[in-house]
Amino acid sequence: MNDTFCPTPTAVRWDLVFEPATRSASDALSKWTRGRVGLTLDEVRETSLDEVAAALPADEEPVTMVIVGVEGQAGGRLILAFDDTGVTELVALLLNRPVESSGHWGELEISALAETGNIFGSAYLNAMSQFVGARLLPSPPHIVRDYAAGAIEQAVVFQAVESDEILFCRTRLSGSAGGIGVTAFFVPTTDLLDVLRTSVSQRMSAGEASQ
Amino acid sequence: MTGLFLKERSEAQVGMGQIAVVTGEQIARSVLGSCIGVAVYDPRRAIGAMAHVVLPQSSGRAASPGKFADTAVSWMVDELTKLGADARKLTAKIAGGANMFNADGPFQIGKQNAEAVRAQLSALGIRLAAEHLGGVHGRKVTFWPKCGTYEIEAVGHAVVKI
Repeated sequence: MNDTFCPTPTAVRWDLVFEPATRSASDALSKWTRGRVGLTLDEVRETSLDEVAAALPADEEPVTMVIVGVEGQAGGRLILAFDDTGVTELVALLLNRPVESSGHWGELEISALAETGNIFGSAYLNAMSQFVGARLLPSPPHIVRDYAAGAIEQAVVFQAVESDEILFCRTRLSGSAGGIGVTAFFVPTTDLLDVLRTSVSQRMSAGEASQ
Repeated sequence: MTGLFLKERSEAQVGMGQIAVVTGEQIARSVLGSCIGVAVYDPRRAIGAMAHVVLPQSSGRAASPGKFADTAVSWMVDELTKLGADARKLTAKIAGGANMFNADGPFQIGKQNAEAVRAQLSALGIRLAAEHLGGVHGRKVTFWPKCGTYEIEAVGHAVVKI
């Protein structure tokens, strides 16, 4: 009989990094949209690859996505996904005009959405940078109307190259009445995931040591 | 999970790295970005399988066979022949391999996936009847083994059947 003792692994407190990042992005978006968009952390999920799809919306309808990359060696993707009603309301709000569902986006509308991504990405990554002690910069936003599952699939591929377990973070609209429907996903690359894991572990150890 | 085998349900949602085996009136569906939806079927037996391939090469990694091009295709051939398909009659159709972030750089995973799937089909002597690859849009795909029809929807484009 083998007497090897296997300690129970301590759960990684991902909320230590994702809560402040989400709060920072939520505050910035709330100011930008006059209180119409606020985000709350929904879940941080480390899951097997084949369960990623099960964690995504199953309706498979196209959504408008504002995609922001994490620049530099670390890398990752932030994806803001709006349903058709949500994106129409957001554009109307930002451009101070009545809600119209023409579905046509000109330069002005694209620019408004890109600025939303810029504000969201900057606030989110600023908070994350403070946590890890390294600069994480957002790329210029990319606007696309497509299937959310396809975009998230492509974002998680960079983790799938290294591992069969995938980490992604989902935030959603806070429950205020009259809010605009948006879901945000954050998928780090393996390099950034390692940086985050190390920082969280150090913070957890420091917390335990001070108790 | 390696393979989805439908008993009573008529429709399989094939997630990343999964393979669904479908017969008769059953269908397989998936949403693809840079991944490849590989459908392999025996048109005379109304039996087929769809894999949602994520990466080109397993490089010896022990993971779900559907995740990699090299392991997915050989797994499907083995499973379909066990279920009565004629290996010499197997036919393939493939879709996906998009670059949804329109990113430059050497790591073009969609393109690499497509090349790896083609090479694996060729190595196993499976006829590639049709393909719908590349571009910058995701795809919603549906496969019917009974007739071998592979339907592709992409945002802003007409529905295509290959």
